[in-house]
Amino acid sequence: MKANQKPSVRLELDDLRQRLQEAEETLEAIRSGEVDALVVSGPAGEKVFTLEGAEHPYRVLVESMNEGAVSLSDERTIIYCNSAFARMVGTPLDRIMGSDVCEFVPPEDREAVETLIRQGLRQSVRAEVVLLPRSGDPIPTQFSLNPVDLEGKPSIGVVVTDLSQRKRQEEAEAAVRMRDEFLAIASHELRTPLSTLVLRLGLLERHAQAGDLDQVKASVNRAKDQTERMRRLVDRLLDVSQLASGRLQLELEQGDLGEVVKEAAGRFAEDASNSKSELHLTAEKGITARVDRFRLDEAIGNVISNAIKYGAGKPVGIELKANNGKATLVVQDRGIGIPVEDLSRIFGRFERTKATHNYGGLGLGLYIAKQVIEQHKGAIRAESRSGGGARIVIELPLDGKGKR
Amino acid sequence: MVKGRKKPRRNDPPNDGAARILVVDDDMDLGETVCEILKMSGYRAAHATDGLVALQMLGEGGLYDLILLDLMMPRMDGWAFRQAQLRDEKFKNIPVVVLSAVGEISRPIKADDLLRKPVATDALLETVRKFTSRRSG
Repeated sequence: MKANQKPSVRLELDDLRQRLQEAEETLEAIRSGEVDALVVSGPAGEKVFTLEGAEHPYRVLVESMNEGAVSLSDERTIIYCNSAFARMVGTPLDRIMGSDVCEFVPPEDREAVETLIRQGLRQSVRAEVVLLPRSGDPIPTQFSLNPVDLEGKPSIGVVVTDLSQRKRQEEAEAAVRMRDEFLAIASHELRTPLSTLVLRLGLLERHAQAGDLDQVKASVNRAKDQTERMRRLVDRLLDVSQLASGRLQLELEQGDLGEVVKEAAGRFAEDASNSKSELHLTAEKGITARVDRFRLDEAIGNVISNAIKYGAGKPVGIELKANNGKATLVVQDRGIGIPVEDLSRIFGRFERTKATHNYGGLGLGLYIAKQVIEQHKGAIRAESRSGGGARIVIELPLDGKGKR
Repeated sequence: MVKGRKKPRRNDPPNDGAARILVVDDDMDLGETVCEILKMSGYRAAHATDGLVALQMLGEGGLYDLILLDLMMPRMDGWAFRQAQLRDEKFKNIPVVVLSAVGEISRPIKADDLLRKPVATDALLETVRKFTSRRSG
């Protein structure tokens, strides 16, 4: 027995010694940082396990990324995140780990993000998500989710890209486009009265050469009408520019609202009869308030002008009443109307409805009216009339104190 | 200085052969002013406020020798009017001069001439004369 065991025992001993040496060498290599990954053969085949060393290339890559990187468990817990993500949400790493990622998302978006994460467990998916840092403004981001298997458990790898820069650029580009569109519309609008003026002066010249003084006078008046038209247009443009920079100052004084409405309507009497949209005005007397007469006249005028313009030749009703410390002015027409989806949009800058295409005009009247009315602490809204047409309702407080 | 007052020119042309011009423009002031200039120069002129009205006026038997056409008009714009005009045997041969502002011609339009707004009186009358010289005016 002893003689038989001796060689096999020696072989075993040699084998053990060799394996011990390999193990020592491996441990030594790991300790000295020469090894960064191990390939282990197991029942499921070979698997690579990477080691966490401070200099590890993958770790360095993820930690130095500008994008945020997050690993989520299937219950939305943040298992890991990089410093970029921690910076985005303005929270120290140790507070983030173990939190539900939805804590960093606005409450009204949480349900949608929960659905997104459930999707991310099954397939690659991308969506825009607003992140709420602990302090500071919300950040628009893009979440790019991929299902990963982390140590046997279904998890999600998320790359978080900050979209603020891109959004700012999109906003800047949109602003430039809007300005260009504005310039195009404004120069077109100015060109028409200018054309008329040029021709009118040509006529004036001919009348003068013919010595016809009456016609000369008539032409001068018509020429003045055109310059007046251009002046009003330029004023409107200046208003918009002032409104945009917040420089619109109201000059308030006690005024009778009925008179203001009457004067505004009076400016359009001729336009109204030209397009057959007669103005029917009813105004209660004695409604006084502190108002900027000039601006209010302009605002109301814009509303009346629209009613005539889009009134399709049907009468326009203007009604002023007072009730409970509030004055209400209603301007209604039976014209082309306003689609329900546009009822609040039309008060935006340069906004028009599709149907008003080619009607001319800057799309600023209601925008200016809204700014002026709101500066007076009042309110303005548009309503569709059943049976066709539109109704604009303006409310103004009478005691100087706003309802807002 | 001209001594003695000249008689004002009559708005109506002295003879029946004066050319008839249809001015199509949604701007009331511009349309009226153009008509006034044309009438003062001995033409007969009528104003339509958009393409639909213009088609109506043509349909009512109006015999026009020239159409001055604005492009941006509500209800029926210059392009649509031109298409409709060209489809109708009765009026497709009436020459059309487009009166438009620069940058408005977003789509091509078939026309006999183009005048850019703001148009000077002389240029307007010169162009009209070009297309109506067959008739006295």
